Amino acid sequence: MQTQAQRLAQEPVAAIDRDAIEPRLLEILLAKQERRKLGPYIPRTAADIAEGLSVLFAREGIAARAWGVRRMGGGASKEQFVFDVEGEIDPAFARCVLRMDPREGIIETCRRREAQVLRAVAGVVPVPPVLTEDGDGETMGQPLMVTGFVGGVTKPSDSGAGPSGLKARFGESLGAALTSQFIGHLAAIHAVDYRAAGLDDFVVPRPETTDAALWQVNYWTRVRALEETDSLPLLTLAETWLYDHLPVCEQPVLLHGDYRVGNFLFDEDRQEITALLDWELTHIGDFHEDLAYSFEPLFGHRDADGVFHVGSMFTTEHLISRYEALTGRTVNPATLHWYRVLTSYKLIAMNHCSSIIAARDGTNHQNALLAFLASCTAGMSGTLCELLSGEMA
Amino acid sequence: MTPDPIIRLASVVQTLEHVVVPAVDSGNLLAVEQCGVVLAQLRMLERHMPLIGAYHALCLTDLLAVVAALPPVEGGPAAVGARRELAGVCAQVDDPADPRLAFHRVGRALEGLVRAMAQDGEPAVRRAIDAAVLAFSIRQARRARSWFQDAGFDHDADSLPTVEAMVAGN
Repeated sequence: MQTQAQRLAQEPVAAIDRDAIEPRLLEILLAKQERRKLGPYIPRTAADIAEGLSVLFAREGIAARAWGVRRMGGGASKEQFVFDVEGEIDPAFARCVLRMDPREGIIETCRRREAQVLRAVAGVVPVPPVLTEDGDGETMGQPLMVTGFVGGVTKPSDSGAGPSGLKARFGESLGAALTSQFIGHLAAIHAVDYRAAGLDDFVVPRPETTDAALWQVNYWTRVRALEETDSLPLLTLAETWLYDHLPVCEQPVLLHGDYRVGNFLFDEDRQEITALLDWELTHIGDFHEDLAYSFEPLFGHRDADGVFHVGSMFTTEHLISRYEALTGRTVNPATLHWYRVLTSYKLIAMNHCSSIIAARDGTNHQNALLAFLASCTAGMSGTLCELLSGEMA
Repeated sequence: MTPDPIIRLASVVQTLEHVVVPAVDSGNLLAVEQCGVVLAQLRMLERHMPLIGAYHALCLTDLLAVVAALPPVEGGPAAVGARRELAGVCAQVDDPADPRLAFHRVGRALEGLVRAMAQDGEPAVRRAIDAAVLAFSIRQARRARSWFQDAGFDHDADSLPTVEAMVAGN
């Protein structure tokens, strides 16, 4: 891996541009800071949503009626409702899911981008079909997206799990069946030709540069600058280390950005992944980033021998070897390590900064959950310490 | 002075658990899920409440000791200025009425020093300061993991001391 420090040593280049952030991401992050001034958020009722859907359908020319609106459980970032649809509409949308931003959440993401990427990967990997989206919240006051409903579960019905599907345990047979699909779908996402995919709100980092890594550090550092209420010197230590060691990305790929257990649906009987969900953190970047995400201890568990299993299904060694076999790419251990540090950095930024400020101001529909999730920072900090140990000698 | 805040909190938890939560509409998934979170948070607070002052003081004492032991700063104006700022903040928290607030004020000033050293600090001094911050962070992360172990997220909770043992310095 050629790092930013090595590159600087070899040739004079311009100073690191710490303001380089994808424009749409910066736009909505700054808009959130303004929205916070509106004060506490009161969760929408089913009646509110039914009324909003009729306005949305009329605006979009959808000759159908939504009925039976009810709130969905699970998730930690968006308000979600399921409802039935009758009228002149594709059967794939007979039952739909409304995914709507609260005033603030653990992450600030773009429904327009999410809809674009869902359309781009439809037919490549299993995803919910998009009916419509309102990226600027013109119809219901908050940005939203409507997709067809896909059946399945995020965790085995006989397994306990924490919020957002975390800590779910899969049996041996089910785990083995889902493992090959999980890794295969990741390879397929990374093979998407994003330049021809209609991703109008995405910006592509330049190949053979540190753009991909830099934009990520810049974004999460900006989140901290805007939303950090409590100090965490470890996080600033990680920030300086990340800037010092920016890896070059040879060829950017389409990334899911939040690829983990809890973010896919599967059919328990058929042992088949029915939909990959939560594409809100999708961006174009280094393939190591999606792989590194799986190493986060929060997204897996250790067996009796102390071996870490991603989502209780497979080891990280298996992930790497299968991914390399499927894609022909070679995983660079130093780059993977850098992205593991980035993973810790951004997850802590979400929980230590955005969660706390939303809970403080009461701007989410699950304020109690966000305050509770902030305690994840403790374990993630332990992981980040382990990752940085040896780097500071 | 009475009733004891812990009694007040325990009575709220018990009432929520046995009266309020069972009456919640099981079809309202958001409400059902939030009830679980609320109860878990209140139970954790119940355990924390007698220890909060000692825990915050323990964290602050360690942080102040780390700052006091930092090597003299060498470097450019950013590094020297950040070290002066940190010293000024520490001087104001000799007897903090609110150790939690003091911890974060000192912590933020220390973060300012870490950034400034990366900007124009002398490399060897920067390495020493970074190493001291990491060593502190390892201790602080372990304390925080112990403190929040009842949340159920820790990947190696069995290796942690109890909250009470941790606050007692074990």
